[in-house]
Amino acid sequence: MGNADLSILIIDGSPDRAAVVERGLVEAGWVRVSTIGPSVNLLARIQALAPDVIIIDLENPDRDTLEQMFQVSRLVQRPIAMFVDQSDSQMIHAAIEAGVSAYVVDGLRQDRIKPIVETAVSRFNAFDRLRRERDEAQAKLQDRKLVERAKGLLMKNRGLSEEDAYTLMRRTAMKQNRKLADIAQSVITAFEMEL
Amino acid sequence: MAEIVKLGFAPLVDCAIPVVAAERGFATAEGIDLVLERSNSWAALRDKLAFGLVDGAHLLAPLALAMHRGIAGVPAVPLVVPVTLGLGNNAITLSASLYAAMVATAPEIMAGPPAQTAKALRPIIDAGRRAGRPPLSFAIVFPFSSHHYELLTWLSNGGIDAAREVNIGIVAPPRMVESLTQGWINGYCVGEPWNSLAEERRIGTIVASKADLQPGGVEKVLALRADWARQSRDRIRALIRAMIRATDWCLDPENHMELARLLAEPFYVGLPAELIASTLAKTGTTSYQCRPDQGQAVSLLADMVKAGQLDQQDMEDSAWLASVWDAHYYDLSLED
Repeated sequence: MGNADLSILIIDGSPDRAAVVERGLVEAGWVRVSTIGPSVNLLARIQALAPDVIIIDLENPDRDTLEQMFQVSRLVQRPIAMFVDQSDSQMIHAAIEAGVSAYVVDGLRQDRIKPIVETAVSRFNAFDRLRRERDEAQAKLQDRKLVERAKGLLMKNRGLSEEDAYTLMRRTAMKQNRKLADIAQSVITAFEMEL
Repeated sequence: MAEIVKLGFAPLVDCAIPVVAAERGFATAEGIDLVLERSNSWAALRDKLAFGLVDGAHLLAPLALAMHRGIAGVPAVPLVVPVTLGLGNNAITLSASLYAAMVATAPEIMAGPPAQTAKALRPIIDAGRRAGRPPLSFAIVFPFSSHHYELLTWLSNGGIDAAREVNIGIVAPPRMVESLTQGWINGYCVGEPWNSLAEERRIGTIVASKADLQPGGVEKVLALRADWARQSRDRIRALIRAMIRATDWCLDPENHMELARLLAEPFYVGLPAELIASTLAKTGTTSYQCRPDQGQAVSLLADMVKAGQLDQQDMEDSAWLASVWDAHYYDLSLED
């Protein structure tokens, strides 16, 4: 793809996400990709790597440091924020929304930067979606455990069948417009207080 | 139906007013559903505001002016400042070792007025140069910040040439204490609670506060996108009224412990309530003021010129200032 010459640096507070973005870029044909985590001597690392493009998560506190470093340092070739060239506001908007910001060496053509930023944006989005799904799955598992426990308590202490215990909680939840897991939690708390 | 208003904020004690407006029902009472978004870096807040991901933000006062003029690293975006949020909780903190060295070499200066304490740096800087040591490094939170100008004032009071004799770097507020602990910097100027935290951990000492250096200067403002502000007169009036009520609530010492507990939550400042309460006790009721004052903005412009960020010409043609620092929205919101 003729991308071998561009050096890309990924800085991300989340090492897992950095790895996902790095893999995405390498798979798409950029070979000179490196990542650095938080709390390192940024200037020294950036000097050593001399990146053409820096991808950094938007909320990274090191961005404030990074921007000033570019303004004062003669040691690094001066990258500028992608926002300065406003030729593609749609891309910029998508990047900010995904939590991606980018700095590029001045003079690098827009059409060479765009696919890199787009790849980073789609990887950020995919990573966040996966994390959300994982969190939701964990929450669901937690809810199911609560319901099982409450059902067990009702069966043991009220002599209900499994189905009746479940129906009782379901009906209460609907009547009170609350989540089944909340009702289960109340049942558990009630029985714990009786002990 | 409640209007959704999205505001960005940074984790600092002076984000109190929007937080209280959202959490204590003042926004809801005005028919506003206030959604707050936290950012750990000023660059992130700037970008979200510049590209419309938020309607407004708790922002460094000079950054609002710089964004409006298009010199803040993003394309110019017209802004309106209808309320100011924070006055006077910045301070300069030095590392324990630098402070000790200053007290050892110039005890009489260190016992004198805080604004003049940088005079005690002179012998230390000279000795460092003779010994071939790297210059002292100080951190501020952003180039366009009252912190920057206060640090410059403090250094210049001490006869120190900031451009030649020391390094001034940028570190985001939540990173300050770590940077001082690691020895990456020798001192910093930041808003609370990041000064008190350094003192509490005994890694730094506060040498001068805002009140010593630039009394009455504005630090943070509520900056709104001008296009958004002009869309609806009712909405902006309601928003400002909620901010004024929240300010009154914050000013009442009776509420300080509750305010400290609220700000202590991880989503806001995320530090112990006792620490935040002690900073509120220190800066007290002087730290919040609401109506934007044109004089404040003019002195900020003068600071920006002095720091080499703005041309003298810009300062002289400052008719644009009235459209940013606009008290008429404030006054409008008080009418019935």
